[in-house]
Amino acid sequence: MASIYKYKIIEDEMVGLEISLILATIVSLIFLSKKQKNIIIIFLITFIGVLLFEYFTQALWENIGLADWAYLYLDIAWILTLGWTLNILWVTFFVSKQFKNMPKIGSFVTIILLSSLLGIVGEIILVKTGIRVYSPEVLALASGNLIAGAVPIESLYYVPAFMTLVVAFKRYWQNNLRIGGED
Amino acid sequence: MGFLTIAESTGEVASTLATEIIVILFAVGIYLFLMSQKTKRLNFKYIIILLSVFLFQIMAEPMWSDIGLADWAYLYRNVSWIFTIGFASIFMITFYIVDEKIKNRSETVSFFLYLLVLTSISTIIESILFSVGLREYSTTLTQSFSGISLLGLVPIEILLASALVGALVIPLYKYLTE
Repeated sequence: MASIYKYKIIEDEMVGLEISLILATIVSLIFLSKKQKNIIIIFLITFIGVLLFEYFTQALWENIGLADWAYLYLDIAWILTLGWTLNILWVTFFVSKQFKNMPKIGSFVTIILLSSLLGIVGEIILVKTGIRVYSPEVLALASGNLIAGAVPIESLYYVPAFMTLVVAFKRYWQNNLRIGGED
Repeated sequence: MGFLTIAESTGEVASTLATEIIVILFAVGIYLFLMSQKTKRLNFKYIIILLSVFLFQIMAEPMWSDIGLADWAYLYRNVSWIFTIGFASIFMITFYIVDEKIKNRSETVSFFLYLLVLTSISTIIESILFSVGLREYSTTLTQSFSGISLLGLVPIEILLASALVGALVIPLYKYLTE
């Protein structure tokens, strides 16, 4: 798949990214476990939600240049799944602390908006480092306008749509399994 | 854009106006049926499921095209509101079957029953759409297919995709309506 972005992939930096995300996950889970019950289960639920979505939309993009062990299936990288999962967990934690009295639907929308904002920043980094390459079909449908010269402006509705489905998945299973949580 | 269709090989062209009328009648029929069953907050539930299905259509837009329908059947580009109401109706009848006909279960068991019923119905519908050429898959998507077909007709990935859509749309609907 050809990329319109001509950024050089530096393998060492990629390994750095993988190690950074694994360390960030470990540190985050240790910290959040002291603040929140059942954080491991909540982490797994969120991870599965993100993974389901990534699996479904795998044809829309490629994740390239990561170490072999960072891939789960085809070009689905569990390392990047960790990144999206951490984004949602930290935003959820932040919203629950900063907006304690907000109704559930309000916190639901706030989490989607904030995690989408961070998600778009993450996408910009992935595209600029050459890890993320969009499929020709995505680029054909895109208007050509880019955010920060990297990510199609259409991500302003793609990313919130993704977040809406995944955050709802997380909350639904938290309720179902009666494990509680900050949100 | 390099989309492939099985219709190219079969030479069949769908009678699209009939498709649109059938889907609208199906959706109206399901709505009236659920109304007759005194389904609580029916309009609200319909709005939520329509939004949920539409969200997925937005995400999946680059992966397939809904082609050959009348101009008025499209919301924008190749996203058709005809298919939005069609698939929303399939979700609603799935919820009815599981919630009203198979009672006394936990929500977790219900979830998997929803998936089972939904996947069974939507795989059949999706296979028909694909076979008559109303649904086309993108080249990138077809390249990721295993090559295994369902009953020798459609890619087996349709089965998996139907389950995946359900696994993400059902929680959104249930979370917002309960």
